This record gives sequence, C-alpha cells and structure tokens, in this order.
Amino acid sequence: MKEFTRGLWYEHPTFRQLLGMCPTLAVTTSAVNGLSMGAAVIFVLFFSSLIVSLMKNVVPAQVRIAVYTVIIAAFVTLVDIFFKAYIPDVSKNLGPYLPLIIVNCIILGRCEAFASKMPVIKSLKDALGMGLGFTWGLFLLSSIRELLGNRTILGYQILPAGYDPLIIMILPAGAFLTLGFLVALMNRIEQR
Amino acid sequence: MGTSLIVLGGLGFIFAALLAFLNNKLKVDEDPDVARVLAVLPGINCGACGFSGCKAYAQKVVEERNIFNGCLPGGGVVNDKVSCIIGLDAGQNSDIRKIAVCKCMAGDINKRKSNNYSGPLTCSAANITAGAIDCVFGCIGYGDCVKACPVNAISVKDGRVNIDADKCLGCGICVKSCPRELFSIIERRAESVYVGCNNKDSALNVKKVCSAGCIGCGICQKMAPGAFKVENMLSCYDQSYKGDESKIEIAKSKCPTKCIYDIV
Repeated sequence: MKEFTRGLWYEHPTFRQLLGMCPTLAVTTSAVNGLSMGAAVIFVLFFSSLIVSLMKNVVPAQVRIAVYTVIIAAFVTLVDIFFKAYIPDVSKNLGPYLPLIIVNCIILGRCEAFASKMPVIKSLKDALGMGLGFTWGLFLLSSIRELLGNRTILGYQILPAGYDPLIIMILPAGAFLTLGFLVALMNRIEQR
Repeated sequence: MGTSLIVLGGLGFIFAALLAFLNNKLKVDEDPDVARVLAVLPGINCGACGFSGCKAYAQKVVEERNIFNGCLPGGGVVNDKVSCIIGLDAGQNSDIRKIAVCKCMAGDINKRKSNNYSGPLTCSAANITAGAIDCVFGCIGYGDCVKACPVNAISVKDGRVNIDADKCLGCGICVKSCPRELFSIIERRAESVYVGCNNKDSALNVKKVCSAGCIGCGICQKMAPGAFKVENMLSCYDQSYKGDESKIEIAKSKCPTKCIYDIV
C-alpha cells in the first residue's frame, strides 16, 4: 500500500518532486486538457513500468536508458495515435506535449528509480500512484486556471457572469503563479 | 554486447510491429483537398495569411471552405486556384500583387554618421544604442531584413536597401524584421511611386543628418494635389490615387532632394 499512496501525497510528482513541469505548465489551460494529459501519463507510466519491471534481469545496465526510451516511446506513440483517432479535439489542444511525454521525467524517473529494481506488482502500484498523483495535480491546477481565467470548470460555468475573467490565468504566467501557490500550500500543510 | 543487441533490437522490432499495426487500424484520413491546396500554395510558410504556415492555412481553408484574406505571396493566381479546389467562384480575386518598399532610400553617402558604433552589426542592436547613423528614423543598413526575407529579395548595397521586384512576394515578413518599421507592403502598380524617407523632423534637422531626406517642403503636394500629402514634415504618397499620372512625374522631378521613387 505504501507504494501506491506515496505518489498520491508524500512524494507527489508535481508538488513535491517538481517533476514533469513541461506539461504541468503548458497544457493546464483547461480542466479537460489537464485530465486527458493525466490519463495519457497514467497509461504510459503503467505499461512502461510493467515492461521495464518484467525485463529488469534481461536488460544490460549499459543500454538501460535506451531500452526505457524505446519502451516509453512506443506507448506514447500508441496513445498519440489513439487520441488522434478518437478524441481529435483534445489531441489538437495538447499539441506537441503529447509526444513530449516520451521525455517526461516522471516516467523516465520511475522506470530508472523504481520499476527497474522492484518486482512487477510493486512497480505497477507505484506507477498507478504516481500517475494518479500527477493527474489530480494537473486537474487541480487546470481547474483553478480555468475557473479564474474563464469562469468555468470542465466547461460548466461556475462563477457568475459578473465576474471579470483574469486573462493572465490562461496565459503561461498564470501557470507559474498557480503552481507556486500550490507548492507553497503543500509545503505549509507538510510542515504542521 | 550480444545481449544489448538482442534486447534493444527485439524490443524495437516488437514495438515497431505493434505500432505499424495500430497505425493502420486507427488511421485518420485527411481530406485529399488539403494536399491539393498545399500543392498550389508557394510553401514558404511566411505566415502573412494569419496562420502558422501553408499547411495550417490549407487545413483551415478546406475545413471552412473560405480563403480568408488569401495568400499574399501567391497573389491572385494562387487564390483563384485555391478557390477552384474548394469549390468557390474563381476570378473574384483581382490579380493585383503586392510588393515591399523601404521608406528610407538614403545610401551611405547621404547619411551622416557621427558616432563610432562598434556594437553587434544588427539593426535591432544598433537601434537601441546611440546608433550607427545620426538619423533616428532612417535605415541603419545592417540588413536584418536581408536575413528575414524568405525569398532573398532584399539586399543592402552602399547602405541602401534594394528590393528585387522579380523575387519579392509581398509577404510582409520584412515589415516585422525592421526595428524602425521602414517597410510597407503596397500594391504593385506600374504608376505607383513612394517617398523614400521616414524622417519626421523639420527641414533643418533633416538636412543636418541626411542629404537625401524629405524636408517637408510641400512642392509635391502643390504639383500633384491629392497624390501627396505632407504631414509631420514628411510627404506621403496616397497609394489609392487614381488621378493624372503626368502630375506625379512633375512632382518627382521637382522634388528638391529627389526622394520620390518608382516602385520598380
């Protein structure tokens, strides 16, 4: 159980490890984008952890990074093709950040630091925990940005029409501001 | 070595096979019109249409069945062909092509240079310092536009910008590249002229820094009323002028500093 909960809170990939900042900052303009990015990362993380963990005794140490990259790239390409075929709008919104999951440090980091040394079941729990942690992080971040910048969450209007949207929250600067506040909040909670 | 080869090669092969299969299965067909429109477009990705490149423009054109503002570099011919492909009436796009002109045509011999500028040899760098030339409106001449032009139509010779009318497509990238905003895109008409000066200072101050600048004397305005207008001590040719062409010729010859130029 420890493997699973760690990624959800104590070693949260976004707010505690500060990994995978590129998609965190770039695609969190709306909650839908954040959620779909999270889903893609969970899928890739789950299956690459599975394969890496299965192959940990076969892969020579010298070429392990190349092997991880091949495995991750294959699953990312799969997700990319899948998104293009079934949810083209989301695929368009995510743009180059979907293929960029290949070099996402959360995934490479979990493969290198965990899956390559641990048995399959533990690796899968770890992957799910980290993936879900990343997803709720993105969802929280993107909801705040969408709410303040566009009055909506997941397309449903929450704030009244009288509220003047803060355009900066949709712009890149809004991502940095929100992330900073959330990391500070997380640190504050942990310090108690 | 052997294991590495087998593991990497094997993995690569398995995944490649899986992806090839899925790619086939989940393929998204593109509208064949997009490829056809793309083949007609010039393909220099200048962005003058307002989209990020020819491909993005072609996709939007086919999707919305609208040519928007049209392809500037391609001109009427290309816009007619694109209209044909997407089923719009061709021929509604007038065949007026555009060209860039530079509003400072002073050469090295005209410009006064009292500063010994030794910074980076780019216009944008020289523009934020005391500057390489005394005139604060005119062409610095280090050729930021030369580097920006996608079709190599611009060259700088003797400190003077030279636009090759055969090569220039009128895409407008040079407009953005010039830190002093000297370029404008105008319609390519044989009778069109333009004023090759951008200095809005008084005659005295223009004379101090340049021997080829517009001094705002207003002679052109008197010779060809309606065609020229002097504002802020600077003459400007009205590109929509449809009056007597001989008057423009007279104004050109009477200009004391000879700063009215033909477009080609």
